[in-house]
Amino acid sequence: MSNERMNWKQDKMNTNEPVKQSIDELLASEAQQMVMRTVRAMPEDVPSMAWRGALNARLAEKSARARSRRRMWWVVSPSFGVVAAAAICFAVFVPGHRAITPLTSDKPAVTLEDQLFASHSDSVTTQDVVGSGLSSQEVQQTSDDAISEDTPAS
Amino acid sequence: MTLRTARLVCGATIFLSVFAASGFAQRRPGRPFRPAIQQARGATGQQLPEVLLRAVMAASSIRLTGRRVVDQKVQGQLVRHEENVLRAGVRTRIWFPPDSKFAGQIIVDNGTFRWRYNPRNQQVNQEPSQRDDTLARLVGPNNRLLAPRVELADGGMVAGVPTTLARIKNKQGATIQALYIDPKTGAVLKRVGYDKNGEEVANYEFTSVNYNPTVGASDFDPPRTVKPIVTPDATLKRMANRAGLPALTLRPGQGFQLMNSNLAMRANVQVLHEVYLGPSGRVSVFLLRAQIDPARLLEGAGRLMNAVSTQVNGVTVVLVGPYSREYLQRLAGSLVSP
Repeated sequence: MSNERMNWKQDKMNTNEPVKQSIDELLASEAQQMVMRTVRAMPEDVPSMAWRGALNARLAEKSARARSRRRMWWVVSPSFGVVAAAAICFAVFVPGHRAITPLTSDKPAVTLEDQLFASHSDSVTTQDVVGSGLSSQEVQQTSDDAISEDTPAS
Repeated sequence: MTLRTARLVCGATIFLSVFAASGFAQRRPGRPFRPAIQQARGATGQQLPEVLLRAVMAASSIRLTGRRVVDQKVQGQLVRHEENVLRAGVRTRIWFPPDSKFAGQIIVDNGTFRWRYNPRNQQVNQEPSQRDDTLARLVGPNNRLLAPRVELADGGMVAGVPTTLARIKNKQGATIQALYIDPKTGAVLKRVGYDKNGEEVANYEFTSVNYNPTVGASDFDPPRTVKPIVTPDATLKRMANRAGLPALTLRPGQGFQLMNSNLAMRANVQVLHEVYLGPSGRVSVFLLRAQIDPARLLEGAGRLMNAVSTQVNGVTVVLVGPYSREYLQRLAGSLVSP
């Protein structure tokens, strides 16, 4: 540390001396002494043993409740896992489960596969309804025959 | 990962393992796969409504004659025609008014075979009898209702007869068939079939009915013709030949009877459609020369209908029907050329 800095510190200490003295004088003043006497004259407020006992009882009760809640959660938390797994299993394995498709106003393009499904179900439904009557193929065939004479091989 | 998360994951893993293992453990090795429709047939436990029971019972004994108007989808459009019907139990004779484009055609179903005479080529086509599967499917043991739901209402007057309307609904609540039944006789005087979107596919409605018909001795004999009777196999060969496709059929002895076959254009592709009557419902076999997306087939399949596709001699074959995919796959493997 340089000499200049040491000298600066010494000067600073010398200038603070009168301030310290003036604080001591202020504390010894009559007003301060009166406040000191008033404070000392106040009765000492020591918490009673009954109050401490009650507080301890309350703390013990609260900690027991927290412990039992922790124990309960320890048992219940795996059950949530089981319930979640059961819900997933139900959603995946339930008979007739089908993926939920969003409702859209646009009609999807009718593919060849869709048309084959439609041909099958329409044919089944039509035959169920008309029974022994003319089937849709026979109606179609008669219309075709009217256009071009059908000449079978058999 | 916290202790709590670890416990959750462990619980879920154990449960899933036990759940999945219990299912597989119960499956006997080599157990045959049941047709899909069997799963859907769980009896509702409801007693069959009286009017439906009457219709089911009357199906094998009712006698009537009358005229009916029939609408059915042909290439996406409902096409209408009129038929004269004579019915005596399971036997039916159908002929057409003189002004109809079907005039001269005669259909006879004797409960075993169905014949159709076409005056244009003087040919008689033979098929297995067209059993009324829908009515039969409604009834289970002890007359318990097998349809998911049936609703009854007043059907109004049909052919001058008051009727009861029985709406047969699927599990989603959509009507699949509407039957207008004469509650006195059990005759189904009007019937409407719907597709899965609720659109009408076919219907008939009697405009006149007589419950005391005169039945001739030969009314249910096969129509006479000098030409040999055309069987479904012969029709299939002719259709396949016309389309340049092999006439593949399901190997006999599996309980499937070829009913009919026809050629149609589907998405600009010529398709040969064969319909078979099977133990748990009809199966369609489609033959075509185009690629099929198996994923789309899976998407289209539902609880009551499955589909599989395969390739046979460069031809795409698609099977659709109310059977499990494994069963359909097996059927696909049994296709032979007659």
